[in-house]
Amino acid sequence: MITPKDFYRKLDSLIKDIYTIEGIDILPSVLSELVNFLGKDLSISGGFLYEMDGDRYELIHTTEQDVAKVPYLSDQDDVVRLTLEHSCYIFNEADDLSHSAFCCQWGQVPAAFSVILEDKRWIFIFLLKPGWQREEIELSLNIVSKILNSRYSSRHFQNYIHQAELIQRSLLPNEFPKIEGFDIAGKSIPAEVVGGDLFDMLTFDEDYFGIAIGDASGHGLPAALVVRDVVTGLRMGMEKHMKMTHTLSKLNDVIHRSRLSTSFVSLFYAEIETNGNMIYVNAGHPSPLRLKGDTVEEFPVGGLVLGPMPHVELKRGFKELVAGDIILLFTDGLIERINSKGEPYEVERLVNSVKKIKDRPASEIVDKVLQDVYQFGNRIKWLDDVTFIVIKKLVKSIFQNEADS
Amino acid sequence: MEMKHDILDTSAVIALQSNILGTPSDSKDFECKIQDLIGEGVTRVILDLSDVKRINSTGLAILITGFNLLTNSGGKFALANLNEFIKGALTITKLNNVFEYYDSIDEAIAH
Repeated sequence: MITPKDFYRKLDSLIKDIYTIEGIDILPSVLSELVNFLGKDLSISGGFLYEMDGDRYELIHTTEQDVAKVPYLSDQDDVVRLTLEHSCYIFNEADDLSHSAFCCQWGQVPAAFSVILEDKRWIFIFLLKPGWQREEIELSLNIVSKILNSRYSSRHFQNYIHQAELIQRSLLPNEFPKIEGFDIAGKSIPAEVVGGDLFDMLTFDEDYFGIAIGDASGHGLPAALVVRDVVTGLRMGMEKHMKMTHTLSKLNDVIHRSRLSTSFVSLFYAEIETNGNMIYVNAGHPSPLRLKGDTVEEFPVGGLVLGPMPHVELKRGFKELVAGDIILLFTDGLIERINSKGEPYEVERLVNSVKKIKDRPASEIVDKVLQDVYQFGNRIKWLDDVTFIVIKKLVKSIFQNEADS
Repeated sequence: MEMKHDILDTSAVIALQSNILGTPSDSKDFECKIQDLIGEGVTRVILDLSDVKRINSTGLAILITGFNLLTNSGGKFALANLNEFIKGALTITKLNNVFEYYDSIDEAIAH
């Protein structure tokens, strides 16, 4: 007789194996491990793994030689029915198993458990030898079944999250298109796998382009779904050449009606002509900054964030960009990142960081500033989504720069 | 998040105690509290923010929830004792045009 200590050690080692076996073929391996590794101690003589296939279950793996004996079980078979009902079940002598093909063929009282993943189902069935102990079997099979079920569902869940991440990545631009006379770069870092920050760049024709930055309240998946609506809505509106204030107020209607009326989105959208004329609209987003020599200017025109109220009134603002101007667009995650003393990064630090490297390319400014902000927060993980975009109105065109070098 | 409230006739003053307003559990707690108060016949809620140092976007969404719940049931929602940080957040998002806010509870009650 095995000592409890040795038994638990074996069970523990089996559980570790379950976590290390990779791939979808984990279930047959677990069946073999259970029978070969713990079979003797638990008085298990053989194991069977059935997989649901329509309205029947097909034997896909067994430790027994005679695979032809019961290759299929009906979903009405008592063993299948009772196992699915209880998730883990040890049959009693008293159970009427005369309608079970499995029991009729093998002539033994089995123990069984099920693994369920959405619409897929598997049944593990074990033959028990005389002398088996109910408590030991119950404990072992329950543990293994719970671990398998949770492992499968967590992997399934991770897969969903990964898909959400891919969807969001496909929506936000990977790189900014080159625009004559401008150097533009930007990055967005979500605090979780997906985030509530958004940015986009729209190119219409050679004369002008659109740029958007925004922040949906909250984090994670709910915020990411709102981001998707906003990016899609904005692109559709702008490509139809609708007025920007009209597009944003339509977006407000959509967000307000979405029953997630507790959520809101701040959004800054600008159209910039290559000659430097800039028209913008700001729905409650932190004002971008213009660095013009030593001075720092805000974009003063703005209105309410999108979502909380049934209607918003937004006005357009205008700026004229000149060569040498640097425009900084950011979300609050950047200026509100906190250091160990509880102080936020703030606009002043942002401006100083940019000023030190203002002659460098936009992409380098973006990377260096994000690094600086990350370090300011003691290199702990980002607690809020962060987005930072730099637009430089060049003295010489980038194409000319490339030709010079 | 800790919430204490006093009821005076049909007005309620809720004091929020939270360094940062907007942790994930705050939304549900707050929504339940407001709904309970409306159920008890409260038509005006004043939110005392003296013990709230900072607010994030989830926190602002919580305030919007309070505003919407009260407004939709024909009641009123106001904020009191906001520090500069919270005032700043309301100014950027222009929610300062949506919420009534006062420098003290007395002033809020008097209105």
